[in-house]
Amino acid sequence: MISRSWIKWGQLAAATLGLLWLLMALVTETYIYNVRWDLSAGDRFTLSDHARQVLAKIKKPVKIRAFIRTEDARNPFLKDLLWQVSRVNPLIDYDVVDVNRNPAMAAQYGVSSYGSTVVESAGKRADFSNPSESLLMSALLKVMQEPKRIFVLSGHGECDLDNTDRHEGCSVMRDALQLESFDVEKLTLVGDVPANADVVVIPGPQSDLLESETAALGRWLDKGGKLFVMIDPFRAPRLVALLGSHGIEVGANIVIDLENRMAGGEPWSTVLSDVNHQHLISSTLKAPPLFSLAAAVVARDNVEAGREATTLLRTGPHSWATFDPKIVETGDAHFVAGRDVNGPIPVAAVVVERAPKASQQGVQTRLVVFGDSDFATNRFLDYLGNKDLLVNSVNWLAREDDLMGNRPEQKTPGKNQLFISQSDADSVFGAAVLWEPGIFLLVGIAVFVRRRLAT
Amino acid sequence: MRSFVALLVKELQGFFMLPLVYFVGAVFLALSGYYFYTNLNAFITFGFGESIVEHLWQRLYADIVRVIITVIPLITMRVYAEEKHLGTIELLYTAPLRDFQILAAKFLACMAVFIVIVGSTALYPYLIWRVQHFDLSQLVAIYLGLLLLIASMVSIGIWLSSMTETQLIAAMFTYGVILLLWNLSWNEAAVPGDWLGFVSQLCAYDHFEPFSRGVVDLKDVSYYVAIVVMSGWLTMRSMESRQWRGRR
Repeated sequence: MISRSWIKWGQLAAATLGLLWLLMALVTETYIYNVRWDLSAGDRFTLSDHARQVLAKIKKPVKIRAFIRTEDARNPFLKDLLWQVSRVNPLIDYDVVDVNRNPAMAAQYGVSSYGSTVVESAGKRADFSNPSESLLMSALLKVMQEPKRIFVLSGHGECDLDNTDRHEGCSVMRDALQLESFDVEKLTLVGDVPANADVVVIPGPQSDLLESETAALGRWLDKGGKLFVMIDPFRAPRLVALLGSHGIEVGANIVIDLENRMAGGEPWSTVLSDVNHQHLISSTLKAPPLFSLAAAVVARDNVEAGREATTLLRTGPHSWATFDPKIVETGDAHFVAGRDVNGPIPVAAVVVERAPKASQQGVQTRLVVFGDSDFATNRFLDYLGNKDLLVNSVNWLAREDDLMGNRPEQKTPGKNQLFISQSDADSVFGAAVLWEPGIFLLVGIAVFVRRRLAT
Repeated sequence: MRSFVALLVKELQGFFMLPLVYFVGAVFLALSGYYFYTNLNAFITFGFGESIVEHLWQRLYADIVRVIITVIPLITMRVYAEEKHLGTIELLYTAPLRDFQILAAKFLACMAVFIVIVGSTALYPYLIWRVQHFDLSQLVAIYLGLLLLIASMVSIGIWLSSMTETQLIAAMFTYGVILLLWNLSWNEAAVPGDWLGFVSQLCAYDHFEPFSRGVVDLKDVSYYVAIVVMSGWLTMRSMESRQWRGRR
């Protein structure tokens, strides 16, 4: 016969296992249906809008293998990132593979460095290392779709994609476009625009284009080409004329906005506070862009030609456009009645028009014109909404409408630095290592003595 | 309710009139302060290009948790074991209080001790804040994580204290269990690959790490809450079993 004590033990064991099972089930449910509050600066550990848009595009299974080593400080971030993307889109499956534990698998994938991550889908493969959301999204785009070809015009003093100079270069622009899975190539316009070009970008020509070049661009636009022009004031009149024939007038002027200039900065470095939130390119901008030395860009509709023009960005209400090119030398930023034009001044516009010579119905010519090219240089591209504006523009031209969103903030060296003097460090040592524990020690001694005296 | 408040006050007095609590607090803060100072120096010297957020607070509080693990058994070991040893537990269980209320009073008193001791580490961010302002929201997540971590480990300590009359045994077992939970996924090579994910879900460190980055995930909160609930339930069953085991 089973004793009462044994029955009690049995009941206790059963109840304990039952509660354990219940709690594990609840924890598992919260694991599956997790809710996150990201209190890190800049929501660093939450997927960006852009990432969610990329993940929503994935319609076929994707396998991600991250090759790591134990004790790598990047592991928690990488694992968390992969876990997050797999939760957003269940078609994404991932494995975290320890290279030291699985050297054969690492060799099979040709992986030699810790942190390398391989993304595969339908026979396509993209690799990256140094885990970041941007790189993962870029790899996912690469395996999901054929890369679009972006040709960047050169030969007229345009901003150089291979130039890494902090001020003058445009290498950051190239990197940003490649991250979006675009094939970026330089274009020397001899003859026609290449037939496989999805978008042509002209980043701030300093000298004018040849007649044959503008003619080639014109022919290409007539076939439904997609052109992105960043043009500085008083530059490339032939190109300006070509744009004018497509309904975009680039003014021979410089925009001044003293109210919205950078603190302590030049009067022509302007934050563009008037953003058109109705258009796809600018609707997702969380921060306004910043232009420096911009010209007015006015877009005009033409219903008969099937042309629809939209202004994207304007300067503030107290701005103006001056026709005095020497203002940059003199720095004398004053409105002159009769010469200058009152603001707000449009500085960026887009045009969609029915391609007149298109062989197929529905083919559209698309143009994006900004009255400034400095915003795309290494100096300014990471400012405020500049990078999103640039990448959104190219995506819109390449008809990747659903990939427009805010990209994650990049960690920039030098941000959040801490400068502390020796005297501050000494006071930190005194307060943290000596005084605070000392107070606890003294209170402890006082309590000890009091108890002794009491007994 | 009045009896519960009276017991809570008695428990609080019991802790805060104990020199051990202050000595433990002094050692904890000396070690934490030392970690803070050395981490700060390391950050200033080698941390260029890194952010305060990720590479000072994250590292510092992971170090502080290691000290907390050492300190928790010293505080929880006496909760039930001492009363059993002195025989005062019988008086307590004849008072007009439910088992849950007794446990809650002891648990809250323990937590109050740790809130005072660990809350004193808020001095470190304040010292930096005086020199240079920074985003404080990550620290909110860190202190929430610390509160949950301490609550879970205190509840384990109280449970193990309820199992024995010897404080030293309670302390040693508590330390062992907490250390095991904390280190469970550290040596990944010892775990078969398929089990790694499961082991990671049991590991207290893996659930604290997101808090240290400023991320509050419901899955991590639920993990710590589950430990508190399970340990609390086991504590009550442990005390209840004294009746049918004939030890009351």
